[in-house]
Amino acid sequence: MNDNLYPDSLLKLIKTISRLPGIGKRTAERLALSLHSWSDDELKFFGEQLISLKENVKSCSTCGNFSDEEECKICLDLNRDTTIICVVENAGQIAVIEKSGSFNGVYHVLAGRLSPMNGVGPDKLNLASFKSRCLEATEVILATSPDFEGEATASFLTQELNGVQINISRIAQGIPVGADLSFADSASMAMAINSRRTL
Amino acid sequence: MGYLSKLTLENFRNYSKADLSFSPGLTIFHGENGQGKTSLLESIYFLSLLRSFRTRNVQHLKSWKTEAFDVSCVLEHEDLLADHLQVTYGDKRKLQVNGNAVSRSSEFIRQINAISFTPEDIELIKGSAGGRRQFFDIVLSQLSPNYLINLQNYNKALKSRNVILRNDQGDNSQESLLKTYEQLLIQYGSKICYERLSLLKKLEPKIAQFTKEMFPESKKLKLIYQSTLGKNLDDQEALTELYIKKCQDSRAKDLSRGMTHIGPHRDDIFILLSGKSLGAFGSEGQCRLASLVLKMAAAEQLIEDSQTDNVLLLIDDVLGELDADRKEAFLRTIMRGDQVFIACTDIPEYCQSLDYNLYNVEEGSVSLQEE
Ligand SMILES: [Zn+2]
Repeated sequence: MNDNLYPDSLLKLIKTISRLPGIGKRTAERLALSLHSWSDDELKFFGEQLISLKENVKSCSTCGNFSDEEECKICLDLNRDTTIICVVENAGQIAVIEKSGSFNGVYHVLAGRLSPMNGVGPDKLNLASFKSRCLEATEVILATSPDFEGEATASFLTQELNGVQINISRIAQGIPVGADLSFADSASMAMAINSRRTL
Repeated sequence: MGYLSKLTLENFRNYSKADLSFSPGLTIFHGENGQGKTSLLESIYFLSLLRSFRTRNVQHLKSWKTEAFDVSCVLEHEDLLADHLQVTYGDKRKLQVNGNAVSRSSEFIRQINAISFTPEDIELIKGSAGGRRQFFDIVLSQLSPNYLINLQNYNKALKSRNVILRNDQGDNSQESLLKTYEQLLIQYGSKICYERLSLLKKLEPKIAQFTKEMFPESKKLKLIYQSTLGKNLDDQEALTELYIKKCQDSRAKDLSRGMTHIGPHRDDIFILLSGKSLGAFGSEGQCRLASLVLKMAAAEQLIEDSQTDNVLLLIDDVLGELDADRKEAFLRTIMRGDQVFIACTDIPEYCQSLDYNLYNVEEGSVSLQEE
């Protein structure tokens, strides 16, 4: 992009927007110009949402899911089967699995995946309550991504559960869910969960 | 069988812009040295493997003072629509197939199967083990889609294990993490070793045949896979068992140095000519011939393989030192490829009886010579 095309303040906004996933320079330009045409009130409202995003949307203290409250809606739901825990890399994946309608247990959000090369060891993952939660469950489904980092994370968790009386299963491989499970479609996610294999 | 029908370069080496059309069979790039013949071969090689045979630094492929280079081609197939492949390299690499972005190199590189024959090939014999491993890895990646993925995963497991080894405080706190990556290391590493050994076996009869044709006096060229895991690795299960044991044995040493001492990343392929190490004792001429033989065997392997849609052979300046008989033996073999590109200052006599397209190359511009 020609950096002289816009004043610096607009340029800053364009560059910020283009950091979002799937947004190229041209789209960022269009979005920034569109925002500029909004009324002051609309922009103020939008800005407030951004400023309070982290404050309003918290992590569930039990599972790590997005939540407005201390605990998320799933953890508070008495109809959910707490003896079966599905482990996901990020909270975004929960929506995909929920939409698939193939799972009625509870979740555990790791908030990342192992990558020692990039300095992400087990200490960087949400594992503090993982083992104790598993002690009270009968099955844990490892729904980490089907790529190298996801496999490594799944096999590490399996090691960690060594000696714990629990069925460990892994979502089915070879189902075209893509490397990023957050964007998998619900039908293939349902298939991946239903044809999970016990490790 | 597939072939390249079009090649377009932009800001690639000394070409600000070039458009070339090809037919199957033989194409000759003719011109004086330093005019850009090799760069044409290099661009085809780049579309095939996303690397150069001349430099490790991809930025060197960009024309002087330009932001990005662009190489694209049309790849024709026998029973399918042609594919349009494109690589753009600025700050980042952008791969496209028929206008659709491709994110992984492993999805891009099996489309064109190119093998290059260049003067630098002598490094296969005289150079370090890394070059020989890379030669095997490239051929195996061309033969099997899974090989490259396994290799990439192996390298990730290796790097991860090394980081964990270096972070170790000697208090066992990393034990299950280390175990996790050792399992992956062995899972992928044993596949790599096994595939390399299998390829070596398949190449053996071809190497024997080409050695007979290429070496003036009767000599035996032998390749031995020298693994850090040990000997007798033919059985995949036994190999994995041995790997597990060796990995355990090596653990203390690995911990103290913060690196992994055993595995396919440390293996070598010994090359012997009539029982003696060629790299150490062979003459320059013998080493050149042997490197040609290895490449010829690899090309033959790709040509034989039923999965490959095309085999493109890129010949740069390797004919000069061969006598007439060897030259003919070499050219006869490589003409078995679906498409052959030869860069030369003098058109080989053997080629003159064949049909070919002739491009004249001069100062970064190419012109097709009309009949
Ligand atoms: Zn929750």
